[in-house]
Parts: sequence; structure tokens; C-alpha cells
Amino acid sequence: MANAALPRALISLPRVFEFGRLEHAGLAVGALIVGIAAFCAIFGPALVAHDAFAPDLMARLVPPAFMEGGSPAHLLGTDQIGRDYLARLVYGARISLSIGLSTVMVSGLIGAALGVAGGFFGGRVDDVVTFIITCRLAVPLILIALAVVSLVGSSLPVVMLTLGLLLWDRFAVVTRAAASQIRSLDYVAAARAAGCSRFYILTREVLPNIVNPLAVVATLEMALAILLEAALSFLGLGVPAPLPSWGLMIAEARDYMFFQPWVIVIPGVALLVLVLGINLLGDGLRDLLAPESRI
Amino acid sequence: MTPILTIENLRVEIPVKAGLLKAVRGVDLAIDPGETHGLVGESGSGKSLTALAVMGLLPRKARRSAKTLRFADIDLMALRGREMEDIRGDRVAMVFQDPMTSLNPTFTVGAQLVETLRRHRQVTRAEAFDRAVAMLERVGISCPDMRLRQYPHQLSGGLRQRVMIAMALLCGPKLLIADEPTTALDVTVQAQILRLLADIQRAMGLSILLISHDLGVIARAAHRVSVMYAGEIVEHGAVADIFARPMHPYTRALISSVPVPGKIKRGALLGSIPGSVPTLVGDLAGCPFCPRCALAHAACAQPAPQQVPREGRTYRCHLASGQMAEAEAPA
Repeated sequence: MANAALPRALISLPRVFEFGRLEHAGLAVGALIVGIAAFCAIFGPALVAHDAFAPDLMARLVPPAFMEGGSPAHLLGTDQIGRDYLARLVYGARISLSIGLSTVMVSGLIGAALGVAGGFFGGRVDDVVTFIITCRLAVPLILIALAVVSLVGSSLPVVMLTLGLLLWDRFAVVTRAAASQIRSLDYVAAARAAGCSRFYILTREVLPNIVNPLAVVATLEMALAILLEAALSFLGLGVPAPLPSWGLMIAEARDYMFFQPWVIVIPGVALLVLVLGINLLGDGLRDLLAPESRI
Repeated sequence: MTPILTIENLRVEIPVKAGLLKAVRGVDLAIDPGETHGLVGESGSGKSLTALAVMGLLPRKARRSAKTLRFADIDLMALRGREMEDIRGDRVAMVFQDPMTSLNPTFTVGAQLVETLRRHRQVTRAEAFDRAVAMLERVGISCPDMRLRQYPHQLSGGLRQRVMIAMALLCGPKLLIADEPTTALDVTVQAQILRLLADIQRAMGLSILLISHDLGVIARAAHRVSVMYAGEIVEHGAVADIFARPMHPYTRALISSVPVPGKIKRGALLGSIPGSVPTLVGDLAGCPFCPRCALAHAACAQPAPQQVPREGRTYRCHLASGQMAEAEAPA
């Protein structure tokens, strides 16, 4: 019974790819974009001929190959100190996605734990959880992130942890609602009537049934985390140079944007497309996993 | 014969905004080994809460008190959480109303049966699976191997209720509490499930507390019946006796509101009971049925006494059995 633990959401995923189902086009496009980005993040730096960190002062601000004055050696051109833009872009995908993933893992853990505790146990526990969520919602996200990063110093782990510790609110709200709804369902009552302990009911009856909403929130939070990291890096308080974060690339390109607009357009478009892809994936998942679309 | 379940003066009270909701008001019940005891009443009469009180599964806010609440020789009132968990599902099992929502949608039927058995018995997965197969066969499911590998949404309502019954019987309980087990099913499936329960009862020596609002179900399946109204048991006796000679005005009204094919004339109105169940917040002054009773008189403002017209037959009303026939004669 190896597939017993597999959530039904995953089992129904193949339905997306049935022919003629245009309603799931968004989901397919989103999955494609995220898939490409993940591929670039994992294998990209090894596949691109150039080193993302090696400057070449003889070849600064070379335009992309498809523009006038471009060279086939640098497909997307070079930046202001001659580093290959394509190499930096795929390396940046690795940074963006790892920030997104780690943030979602940390915040998902915190949010789901709080939400499930509040929703499942109710009463006093729920009051405390609701209070904590309300406090978190009152906190200005960017300001706190800026303050923490400037106090502790900016590095990749610090950014990951800061965002992870701040972005759990939606997880908590959604899991709390789902858990309190599931708590009152018949199969939980049936499990109790069968003599199951609270811990068993929590892990086997409640958790598997909130995987679907959690998956949706996770994608949306991931997009938000990536945007926030770009914003922090743009402000110089995110990922430190010379790491090629897309936010940092945009910041560095600011000085040249009037004469060499592609320098800022390339990382900007990359960021836009990735966040759009993740959001499409999340929206698609939400539609697919919505109760009315179940068999 | 010592009863398998003894309930004396069971009360369930729930604090609400308007005061204290006294949902179950001093219920007495005794279920003998091998007996099906019907508990009948309209919604809100406290049938389900009585069952949940026995199982120790009342809502968090509800408070339970009883003079006696004994299962075989175990005092259920004295048990703490963990001890009660060991009894639930093992020696006392429960089947719920809606089979469509009683199974966890994320696991296969087999996984759920195996887990339930392994919760109470030290058996290996393979052994548990074999016993689940045997139990599914026992409740009349064909191809049990295939069914065990399916998810709940792949089964029909009748099949799911059979699975729920199999799950309840897996540990060989002595008492099965069936809370409206057939209400959500088609009439034909309903009959099959009732027959199945009777078969299993005979084979396993099981006692059943059958809760239903459907007199037809009770008449077909129960040996004895208790009629509940407003949190009290207003009449109790053997099924044949109650249906042949109902004593309490509420029982009479209930029976007359059931359509009997062949007996009702086209265009004639079915009997109905005017009014509705009184609010159960706080204490009731007199007989709870008084405002809706056709035979009510001055004495009904006082609490009704328990009448025992003969052995094993009780009802709660001011009118003695002779008086009742008189009072009804002119009408």
C-alpha cells in the first residue's frame, strides 16, 4: 500500500493533460515556466560556457547576440564589468528558487503548525493562535525585513530565514480554517468512535486532507518571497554582491538603463516571467483542487 | 440476564447563550445481550446525544452526568480519555448516518480498515489485511481484494455503509451503536443493510442500539423500542406491543403519521402533530408534550408520572391506560 499516503491531489494531476482541457491552460503554462526555471537553476550554471563571476574588462556591456554589435560568444551580452549575462541569469534563477523554496519550507512549517493547532484544538489554543496571527498581520513586512537584514548583515541564509520567519501568516490562516472544518467532519468522528487518539487523528485524518490548500498557498507564497528578495537585493540589503541575484542585477543596471536598456530589461523580464509562472501554477492548482472539480 | 449496557438517569447539558440547554433529561435504558434496541424520536429529541454520551464523544462544551452508565461490568463514567479510547472501536463500535463522509477521502478503504484493526490488536499488516478481506466478505461485499485497494469516492453509498459496518465489527465488539445507519440510503439498500445487521447480530451475538427517526426501520429491525421526546424517554416496550397498543399520545401521533400503503385513501390527509418541540433551554414545568397533545388537561402542567401498565412496558403520562381510551373515544 505504498500509494496509500499519496494525497489524492497528486493522483488527479494527470487529468490536467487530458486533451481539449483548455481550462487548465494556465496551470500547464505555469508548470512549464517553473519547470524551465528549475532546470536552469539546477543544470544551467554547468551548461553555460562562461563563469558567472569572472569579469572580462575587455568586453564590458556587450549587447546580446540578437542585437546590433552583439557577439555569439555572449548570447545575452555582458554586464558593466564584462561578466556573461546568461551565466548570471541562470545562476540568479538558482538563487531566486532556493530563496523561494526555503522560505516556503520555513514559513510553511510555522504557519501549518500554528494553523493546525488552532483549528484542530479550538478553544483557548485557537484564541492564542488567532492573536499571534493578528500580531503578525500588523507587522510591516518590508520594514522589518530591512531592519533585520541591516542589523544582522546581509547574506543568503539571513535573507532566507528572515523571509521564512515573516511570511507564514497565509499558511496559518488557511490551515486553521481547513483544520477546523475537517475536525467537524464525519470521518473524524468515525475515527474517534474507532478509538483513535488525537495524535493519530491529527496526523492521519487532518493533515492529509489539508495538503491541497497548503500546496496552493505554498506556490503563491513562493512568488511573494522571490519578489521580496529581489526588492531587498535591489535596495542593497538582500543577497550581497557578487552573487547574481536578479534584484541585484536590476540594481546594477540602473545606471545604464537609458543607453543600454537591455541590461535592465533582461533580469526584469526573467523576474516577471518566473513570478507569473509560479502564480499561474498556484491559481491552476487552486482551480484543479477546488472541491467542485473533484470526482 | 445482565444487560450489556445500563443507563440510569443520563443527563446531557450544553451551556448556550440563552442559558443551559438540557438536551438529555434523565434517560433510562437497558440493552440485553443479543438484542436490538430501537431509539426513536424526531430530530432534536436527544437520540444522538444519548449515543454520543455513551461513547464519550460529546461536543467539548457538553456536560454529561448519570447515576449509572455501565457497559457490561465497566463503569463508563469512571473512565479517563485513554481508557475510553481502548474501549471505543474495540468493544463498543459506532456506525454513523452519512456513509458518504464517514471515510477519509485520502486513504484507500483497506488502509483505513487495517489501521483500525491495528489500533486495537497486535497483528501484522498482512494479517490485518486478511482479516479485513474476511470481514468485507462477511458484510456481503464481492471482490473484497479489489474494494480494499479502492478509495472511498469509488464506492457507492450502500457499499460505503457496508464498509463502515465492516470497520465497526472488525474487532468483534459486544455493542454496536448505529446512529441512523440507513437514513442516507435508498429504500432498497436500506432493507439490505437492515437484513445484514440482523444476520451479523445472530452470528456474532451482538447487541445493537439502533437510532432512527423512521418508525418503519424500527418496526423491522428492533426487538424493543424506546420513544424519545424532548430529551426524555416517553414510552418503552417490546416493538410489537408498542405498535399494536401505543400508550403515550406522542407515540400514537407518531404512528398515525406514517403512511401505510393500502390503508390510506386517495386525497385523505396523513396525521400530523401540530406545533413543534419545546425549547430545551432551562427546565420544563410540566409534561413536555402538553402544548401539542390532543388529550392535554389541567394535570398536564405537572411533571408526568411513569406508568407501568405491565411488565417491560412503561410510559410517561398523566392518563392511565383506561382513561386514555375514554378520552379519545369522542374524537
